[in-house]
Amino acid sequence: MKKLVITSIVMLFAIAIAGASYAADQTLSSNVNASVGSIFSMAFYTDAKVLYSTNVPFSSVDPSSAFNYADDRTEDDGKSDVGLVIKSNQGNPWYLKIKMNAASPLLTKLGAFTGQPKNRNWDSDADGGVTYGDWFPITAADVTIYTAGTGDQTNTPEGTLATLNFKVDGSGLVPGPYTATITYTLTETA
Amino acid sequence: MKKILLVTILLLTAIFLNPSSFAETRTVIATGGFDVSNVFMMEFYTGEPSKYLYTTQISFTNMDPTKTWVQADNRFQGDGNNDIGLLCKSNLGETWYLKIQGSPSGFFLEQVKYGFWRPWNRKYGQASNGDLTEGWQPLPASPARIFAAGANDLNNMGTETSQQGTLCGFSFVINPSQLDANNNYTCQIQFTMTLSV
Repeated sequence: MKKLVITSIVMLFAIAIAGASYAADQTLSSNVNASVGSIFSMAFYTDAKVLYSTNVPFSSVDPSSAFNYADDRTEDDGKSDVGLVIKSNQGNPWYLKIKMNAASPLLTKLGAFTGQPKNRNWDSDADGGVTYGDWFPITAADVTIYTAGTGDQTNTPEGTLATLNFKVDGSGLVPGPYTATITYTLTETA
Repeated sequence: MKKILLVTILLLTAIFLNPSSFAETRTVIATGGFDVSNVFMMEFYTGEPSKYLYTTQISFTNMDPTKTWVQADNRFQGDGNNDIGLLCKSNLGETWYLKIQGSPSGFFLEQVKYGFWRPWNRKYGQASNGDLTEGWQPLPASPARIFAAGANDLNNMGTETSQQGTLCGFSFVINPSQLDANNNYTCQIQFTMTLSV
């Protein structure tokens, strides 16, 4: 009898010790579900090199020159008159258009230039298409000046920066104040 | 007559002296005992729903596309809460490990981070003395060890239910950069509690 009792106790210990090394892995999962709010916006941008937004002054226009730049601007000074930051997460192509008011006496006298916009997420040129490679006249009808590239279609969080410069052809202008309203349009319609 | 009587007496003695004829004594030992069950388990902690807001589903609704990192719904930076809590229980007396991995759909794994800080050992009512790297970390694509149980965690089963387990809290952030507004995005996050390094 005594022999039987001792044997039983040893077996129980053996089982208890061996069992500790074989605990099965425990797993749990959580599912993250996410959606993003919609953005399709355009805003003025200014810094030390982008000087103006709602008002672009031409205080002294030389009537003998076809190229009059805005105040504090000179040719090839590395600056811009107006900057537009465009943000979209629609995943669709968009178009930047420009026109001026038909009633302005500066119609046919205003020109604009836009270089390749910058994708601010990449800190490099955006991959869209600029319509004009040089100075172009601003008309009373909307004209597309930039077509978004693939990288512009969802360009959050920093957006795409388009900069514009303006010039006034002073020829034929009599002394006096002149104004023109430039309208920028961001649209998904070509 | 005398002869006959003598024989009879001898036989009786023989019978009485033979041990095999005695009534046997049996000693029965009743072996009693108790079985301590092994505990090695992990469960979502739901004891404080205001501090551990989610379990199997974590929602990020209408994330602000202009932000770089966005927290889950009803979470704010510095709110002191967690997205989920995992209660890891063991009485094995062996080092156990916690691992994590993520499987995103529709976006990049680099756009998800998890936040993990020192767990709480409920048996001893103090911070765990395990090994971990605290703070926000990128979510790995394959199981990566993020916590090794400390000496106090090897057997963290106190007497009361409220004193059982090591409580591990997690939070998550997503970078919504370049995610379309018209899509839904998911990411499965898997936790593993294991004895394997």
